[in-house]
Amino acid sequence: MIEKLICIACPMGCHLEVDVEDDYRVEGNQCNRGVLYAKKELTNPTRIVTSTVVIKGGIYRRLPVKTNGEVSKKLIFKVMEEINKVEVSSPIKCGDVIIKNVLNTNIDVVASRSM
Amino acid sequence: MKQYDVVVIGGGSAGLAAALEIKKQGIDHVLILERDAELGGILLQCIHNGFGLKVFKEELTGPEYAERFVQELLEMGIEYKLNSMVTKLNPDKTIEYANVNEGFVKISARAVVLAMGCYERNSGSISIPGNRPSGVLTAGSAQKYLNIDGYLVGKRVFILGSGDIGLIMARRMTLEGAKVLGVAEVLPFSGGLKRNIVQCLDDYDIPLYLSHTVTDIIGESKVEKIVISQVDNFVPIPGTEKTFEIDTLLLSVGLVPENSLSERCGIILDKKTKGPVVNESYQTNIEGIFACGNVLHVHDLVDFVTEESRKAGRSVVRYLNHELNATNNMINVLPKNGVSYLLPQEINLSNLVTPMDIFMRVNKEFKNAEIVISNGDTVIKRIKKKHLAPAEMEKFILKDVDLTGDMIDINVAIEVQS
Amino acid sequence: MYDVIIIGSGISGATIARELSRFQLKTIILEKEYDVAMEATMANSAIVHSGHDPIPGTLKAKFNILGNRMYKQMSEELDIPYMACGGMVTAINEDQVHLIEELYERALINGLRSDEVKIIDQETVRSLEPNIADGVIKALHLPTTAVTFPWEAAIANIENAMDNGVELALENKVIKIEKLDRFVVTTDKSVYEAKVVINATGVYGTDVAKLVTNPHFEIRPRRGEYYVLDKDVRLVNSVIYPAPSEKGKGVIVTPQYHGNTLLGPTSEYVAFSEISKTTASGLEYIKENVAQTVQNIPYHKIVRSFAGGRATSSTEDFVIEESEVKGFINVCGIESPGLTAAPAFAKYVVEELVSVHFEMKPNTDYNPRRRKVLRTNELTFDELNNSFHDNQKYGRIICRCEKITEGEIVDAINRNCGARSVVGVKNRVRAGAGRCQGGFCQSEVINILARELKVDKLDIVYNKAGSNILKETTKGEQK
Repeated sequence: MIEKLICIACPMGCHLEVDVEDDYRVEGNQCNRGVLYAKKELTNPTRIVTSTVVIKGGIYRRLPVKTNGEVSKKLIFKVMEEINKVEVSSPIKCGDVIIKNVLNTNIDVVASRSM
Repeated sequence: MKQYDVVVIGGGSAGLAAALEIKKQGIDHVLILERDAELGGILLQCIHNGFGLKVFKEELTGPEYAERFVQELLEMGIEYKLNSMVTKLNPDKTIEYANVNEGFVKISARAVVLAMGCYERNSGSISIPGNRPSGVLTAGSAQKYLNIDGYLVGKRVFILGSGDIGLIMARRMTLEGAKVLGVAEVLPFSGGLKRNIVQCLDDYDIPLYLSHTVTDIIGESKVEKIVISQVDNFVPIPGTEKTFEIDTLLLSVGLVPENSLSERCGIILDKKTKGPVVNESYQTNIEGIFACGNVLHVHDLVDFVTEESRKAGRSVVRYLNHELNATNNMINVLPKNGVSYLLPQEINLSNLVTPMDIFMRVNKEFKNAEIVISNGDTVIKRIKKKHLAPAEMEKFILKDVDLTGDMIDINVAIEVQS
Repeated sequence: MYDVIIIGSGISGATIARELSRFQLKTIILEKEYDVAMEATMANSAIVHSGHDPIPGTLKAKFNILGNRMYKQMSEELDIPYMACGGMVTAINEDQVHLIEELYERALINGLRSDEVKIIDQETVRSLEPNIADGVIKALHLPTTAVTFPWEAAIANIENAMDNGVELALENKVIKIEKLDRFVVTTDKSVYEAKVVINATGVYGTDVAKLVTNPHFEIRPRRGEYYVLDKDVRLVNSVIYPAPSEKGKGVIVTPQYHGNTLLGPTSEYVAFSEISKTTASGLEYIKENVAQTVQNIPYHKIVRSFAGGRATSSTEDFVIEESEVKGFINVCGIESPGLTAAPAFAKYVVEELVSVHFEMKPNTDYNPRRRKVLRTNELTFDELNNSFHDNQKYGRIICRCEKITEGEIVDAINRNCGARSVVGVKNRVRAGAGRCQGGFCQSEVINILARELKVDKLDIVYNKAGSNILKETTKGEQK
């Protein structure tokens, strides 16, 4: 069976054709990331989650955050619930861990700027 | 009047990269004038990931990407002024700006870099029929309210235009608790990157209505409903109307380089890009005034802005070192069949540094086509492309070997393979 | 108990209020909207017409000429933008040449002086207007035509009236009027009493009149749609009218005081619910018609389109009279040239209609001048720094497109009849009126409004009650 995908590993947006029965053999990719993406997307799709948390004492009232790795697509809204509970205080440095090991995924939510 | 070697107008991705490059090449008196409260520009509100794959070989969010440049800028000791709005640029490279500390100030520069970025096309510029209630705003302003200030502008959202900011906002608002009912795109193809269709719309089951546009906005004080219709070559088809009950219509209908300063200074703009016409050195028609980033043409990726701005920065240094040859050995770079625009629009062969990147956009979608580059009528090279779309900026490289013999004009066209 | 209640705060109510404030009368303006001048005054061509067009003998003709002659002084006293740009009515064929010759005669009958109206040939037209359409062969030249800034005209009149003691009650929609020995006017918020009531409610004129009288006229809303071109487009120097038709003055090209160009209006009777809707067909109609008078129109420079309703009376003239109910005065059917005529008919209303009910003692404290508005756009570099040294807020530019400073916005909020919405700020100082239409400055305007009005940002509205821009905070954070 051939699955058609658009690779989201980078902004190139390669049109992939994936032969699921042939160990997810990929055509149409321009780099190896496409191969990895195709297999993962068709077995356990994952995404980076970006959002904000409440920050006190900063120049703005929200601090942007991101997961420092991809989490399962199914967990995105659960991760958002965790993110929405957090409140931090300035100063924060870019990369500071905001939520350690969110939902036992081994992924942290980290600050994506200093404030 | 204070004198600078270079004044960079705008401290976003373009201005930061250009200023850094200029300083690194040994020019000391560089000043960045930034109208916002921080350096970084629109990157600061683009909190999603997807930046930096080319420049840093890793995937960053907008604020992270900006912070790396700002850090370097601070380390290099480049002077900048925040909350400082340039009110006037003159052809003699004097500049007027204002801020709350200094009032209105005049300075002069040996060279100026335009890096003012762009603004969003809005409900005014696209003349949507219907009422003018609240709740109709550009995707970028909603993004700022959401990501910087922490406010949702609505809970039931429809998005007109499939530009990247609109797609990104569909996902952002969904994650923050709004219901996004759909995205309409007047063209038969999306204006955004394909990855954003997948990860912002498909991931959240948000429908994309291609060849559709908003044909009525209903609501007195706030938007209550919109009607979308299918279009045939921009003309709405009667009987195809769909009504959505919403409290917010976001517009993601394109970006326009912000050139009111440049225009009043007498800088010639390209009708297609709406940015200055520049030569191989990113110099405008006014000597010593350069342009880079989205003020020049709207880019898909900040990485391209950075690369372009670094090159512009290097040209500025060559100009200051009197290495740019003013003698006119100019040829044009001309868009032909299938090409919307090319950049730069002119090449002074005496100043050309090869290999030279030429950026371009096509004017419609092509499959299995070739970019055909000619000198006059003589084909220099053909580049095969499986897929070309107006939403995706293309780049090709001119090398010394491409530019031998009598150069006339460089013509670029798209040919579809039969 | 008031002496006079004015219902409506458009240009009619505004100019009448100021006229009344010259006398020792206790006056209040009742306005149903969140701000003043939200209807017809908000959506029109901004033209101070010369008076060449109305049919001789009508109130329109009478007050147009008088109003035109009063405008400059009023604008000086109230610091309202005024641009004496002149105008011309163009002819593209021999039939239209006859029409403008008739208009020439009409203009003289209406009272224009012979140096205020002239027929000019193609060459002269071209020299005055480089972008005039090739087909234009003659024109009626009208040097007394001018352009104002209609919202500011209304706002300045009300501000000055308030400075002189008039009250303003916004968000008060009149729902009942009883005539006892006095009038008892009930709104959705409160009850007001007065000896005299003036109905200046524009397109709602008949509805309000019917609350207490049997009007002999019917007001119907006639919609006009417009395009606005960016301010860097200097398309025309003067107001360019087509030759008139049964549809009125036709699609006009009007230079605006701040540099924009207005194309429009259309003319179409519509239901009340449709007044402010723009349509694809209407905007197409503008493009088609305007091509007959002006060429080289850069449609890619459109910054906005809008529509507004004009109060057209079944009598085909202004209705400015005391009704059969003594003390209830109708100022209705104020469509074009109402903006021009307003200062003149306001004087008439006060001196001829209101005066019979009161002993008209002059208000000895009356000051005809409004405190000057500091417009940084109009200042030289040195003047800019002087204003900055007086107030640092004049060094902080909020609106990038129109170069409007925080100082100007704060001033617009804190005056009498001050701004309290985002559109209110835009209508007073033009922050957000430029090419980005507030895309960059709206959030900062909201910040300033919230700070100055001492309310939460969530409570700041766009233009009307309930039009809040920010719906809620994220993360469940409380106000």
